[in-house]
Amino acid sequence: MRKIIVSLAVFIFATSVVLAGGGREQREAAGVDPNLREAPMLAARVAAGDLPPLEQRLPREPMVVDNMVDGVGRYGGGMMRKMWMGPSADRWGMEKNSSEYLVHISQDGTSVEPNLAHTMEILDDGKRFVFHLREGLRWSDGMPFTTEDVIFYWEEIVLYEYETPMNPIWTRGGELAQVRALDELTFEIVFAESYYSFPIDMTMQMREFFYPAHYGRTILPQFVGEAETRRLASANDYANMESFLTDFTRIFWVRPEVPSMRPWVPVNDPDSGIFRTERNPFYFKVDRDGRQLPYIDGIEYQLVEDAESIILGIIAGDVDFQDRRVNAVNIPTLMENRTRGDYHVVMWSGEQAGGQIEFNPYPEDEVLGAIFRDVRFRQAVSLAMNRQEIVDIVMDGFAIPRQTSTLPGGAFYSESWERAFADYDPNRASRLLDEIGLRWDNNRQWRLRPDGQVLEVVMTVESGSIIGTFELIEQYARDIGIRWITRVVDRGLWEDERSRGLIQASHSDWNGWSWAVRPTYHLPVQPNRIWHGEYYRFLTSNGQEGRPLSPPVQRLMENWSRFGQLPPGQERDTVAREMVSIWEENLWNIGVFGGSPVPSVISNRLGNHPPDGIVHSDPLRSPLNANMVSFYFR
Amino acid sequence: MVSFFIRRILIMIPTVFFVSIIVFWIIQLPPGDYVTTYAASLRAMGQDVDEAAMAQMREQLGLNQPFWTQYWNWITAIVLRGDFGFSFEWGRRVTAIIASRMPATLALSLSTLLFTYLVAIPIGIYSATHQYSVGDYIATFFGFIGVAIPNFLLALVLLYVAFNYFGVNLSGLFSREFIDAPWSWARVWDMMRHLPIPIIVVGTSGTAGMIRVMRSQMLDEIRKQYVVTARSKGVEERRLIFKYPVRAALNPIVSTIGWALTGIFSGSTITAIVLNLQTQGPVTYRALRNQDMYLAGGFLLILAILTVIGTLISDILLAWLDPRIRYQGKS
Repeated sequence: MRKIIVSLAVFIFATSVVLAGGGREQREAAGVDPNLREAPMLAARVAAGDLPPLEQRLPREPMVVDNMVDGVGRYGGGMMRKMWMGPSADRWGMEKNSSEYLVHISQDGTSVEPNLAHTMEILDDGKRFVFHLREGLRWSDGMPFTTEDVIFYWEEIVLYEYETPMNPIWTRGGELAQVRALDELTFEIVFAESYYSFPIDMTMQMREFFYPAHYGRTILPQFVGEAETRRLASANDYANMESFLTDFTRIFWVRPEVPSMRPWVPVNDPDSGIFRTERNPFYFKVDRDGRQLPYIDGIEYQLVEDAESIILGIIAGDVDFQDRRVNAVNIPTLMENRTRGDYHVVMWSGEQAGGQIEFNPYPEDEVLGAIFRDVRFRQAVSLAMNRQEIVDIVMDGFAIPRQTSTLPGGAFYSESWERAFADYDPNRASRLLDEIGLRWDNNRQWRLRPDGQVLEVVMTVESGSIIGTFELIEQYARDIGIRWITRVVDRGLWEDERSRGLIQASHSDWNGWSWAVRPTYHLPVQPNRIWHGEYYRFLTSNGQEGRPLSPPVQRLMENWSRFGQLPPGQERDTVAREMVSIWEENLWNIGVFGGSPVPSVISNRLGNHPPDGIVHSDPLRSPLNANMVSFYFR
Repeated sequence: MVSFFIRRILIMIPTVFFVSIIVFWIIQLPPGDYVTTYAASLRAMGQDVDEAAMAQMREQLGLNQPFWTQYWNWITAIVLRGDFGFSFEWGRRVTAIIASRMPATLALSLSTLLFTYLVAIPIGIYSATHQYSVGDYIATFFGFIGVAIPNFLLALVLLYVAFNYFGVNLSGLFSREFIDAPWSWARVWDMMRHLPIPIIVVGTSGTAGMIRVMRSQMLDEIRKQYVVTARSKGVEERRLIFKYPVRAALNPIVSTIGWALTGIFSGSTITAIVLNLQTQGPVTYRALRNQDMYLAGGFLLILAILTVIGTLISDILLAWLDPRIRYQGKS
């Protein structure tokens, strides 16, 4: 039996060194009272007798956060002000300000780090995962947090499919995973097949693998009866039981009623003009001096109707910290007003704001399909684009011309893929089209298809994307003789045409920080992508629908399934390199640019925000990875 | 007279019925449905939704049923139980969502309406009675500017000027500390301080348009025989103007009250988004874009009903205001 313990100390040490700027000496924030181990607001409640003393609220071994950029902080200073567009538009963005999972994904996306679970063991060739919870953890209402809450979540919520239909990550080799508690602090998840990438998939797709059992028993229909659940739904203005249960189980972090393990918990209705969250008195992390975190009393989310109002709020100084709904195109405005708004701007290295072009290998027009399936055509289109010009004109220079490979710092980064066919070389592009046999017409204006028609490509784009990019792409394609037409349509129409296979080519955003973590752009493992939608249908229908995989896609999928079964190590790296080389050569999705910085606005009063360059990505739950519990007001 | 009103009220029933069908049809016109927009928004975040999951969601939401079944379920719930269904996006009852936005919407719309009437009618009368005077030229100049500038643009310019030269952020209806404070005099005062900008922005084009209407109506009337007769009989000028031509000139304004009523409930959309006002407008806008059909449909239906009621009110007021209309009704 092979036993790999994903261990903590090494990792925490490593990140703390990196984040602290190579072992820079930590300094004390001015005015820190060394005797004060909890926030004054909680101390007052303890004194008043409505909260147990700190020792009884913390776990036996609290998790120590020691990677603070400016050193330990101080309590108080008021609420941290943010802006959002309300629970329906921004609940997932809000989630990332306070996420606490069993384990968290590491900064490079290759492994997991301890959190609520202090250790995770991978046993039996990657079939069995054993989690060890910290002892003495408590929910925000003071009730103990144990494996009962994990099993409750699995048996009473996941298996009942209250949140979503059963997630495919739970089925391996045709069998559903088994989840069992071994004791109060230990539980295991067992699969029928090796599944080494499960921890990553779990942090990506099933983040909070637990639910407060004591609370769940008061709302779920299998405990209180369907009539009572319906009454609760109705009392909370929910239209039906299903949407009530979805909100209270899956999107619970905006509900003040549901206990959580998060550093800040909601205290009022999320639809309020200002949605308030306050510190969790039972939070399980402390600083290196044993002071309970977080330092900041709470976060307030002010409701606005439009993202531009957030920009105005920022430059008017009404915001203390904001990274969501702020992007690279706002950088000049933000920089210009930073003195007036009393803030500074930190550039995160973003996974978002990238553009890519995809071709449908099986459009209605079969002649066109044959051209799209020819790798030389895709390479020619890639070479025809002057990416630097696009970046300069459309993104004010705030992006990197590149393919859709992993961003630097992510798992399995490959520089050669990043640069593959990414240089502006229209002559080479023309030669490739000549090789395919796409002759020029008599005026040498357009190229002709084998059937004599002008080579015309319609790129259908969802409205809402950055229009300037398409106009430039259109021009580059026309320079090499492709009559390129861009249609910008409403997203509903786009989706409709996609589902009927009518789209020839499309341009869309990509925000994959690493394919190993988010494979959807590069592998037919999720539906609805233009380049692999038909392959996905083929795979999921056992060959009844869709189109058979082309040989390189076939090789890709074989490697991918091996990748998931291999433990981290040389063998897996070889498989990954093989996959990268397939993508590099085939360019199914042609990257235009990517890696735009995400400007993060930070009040000058706020301490412990990491400097430029940390990765802003969804899998890392940014801004969580900025270690928000260590933020404090100077 | 009474039978005239009863006829008018009875004819409202089939009107509302047909409008409700059209509303329900129109909100389903764009390709796709809520599930496709939902899938599209998830895809934008890098998560893809399976066709099977989409089908299951359609089934749950009843979106796979034929048009007439969906319509029947929708309309019977409204008529029998006053239940407008629920919003897919918010997961809440449509009535609850609309109710939460109504106080701010009504406060803004009613004060804007009042502002429009109080400013436009006197200026219109003045312009007409002092035709080609300096005052008339000024009123005309601002009138045309007001009509020509879109509200949201005016809002942007005002926000920019206020922020850049005076350092104040004028967006919103309340200062931050009052946003979710319970109602108190201090809060009312705070809202009063924030209201003028939205009122001016939302009301300008309406005011400008109404000045033009009032002016031209008055100009038509004051040249008429009855005015000349009254003047020659020595009726005092002020009394003459307000008793005869003003009453007649108000006709077109009264007959558009019906539209004003819908304006009150919808709250201006784009302007509200720009000015960050939590009124009904932005909610409806988002519902329409996301094909959140019961929210959008419920609201459109309410607007339609209000238009019909408003038209009725206009008719009644006109009949009361202008005897000519009453007598035509009789013959």
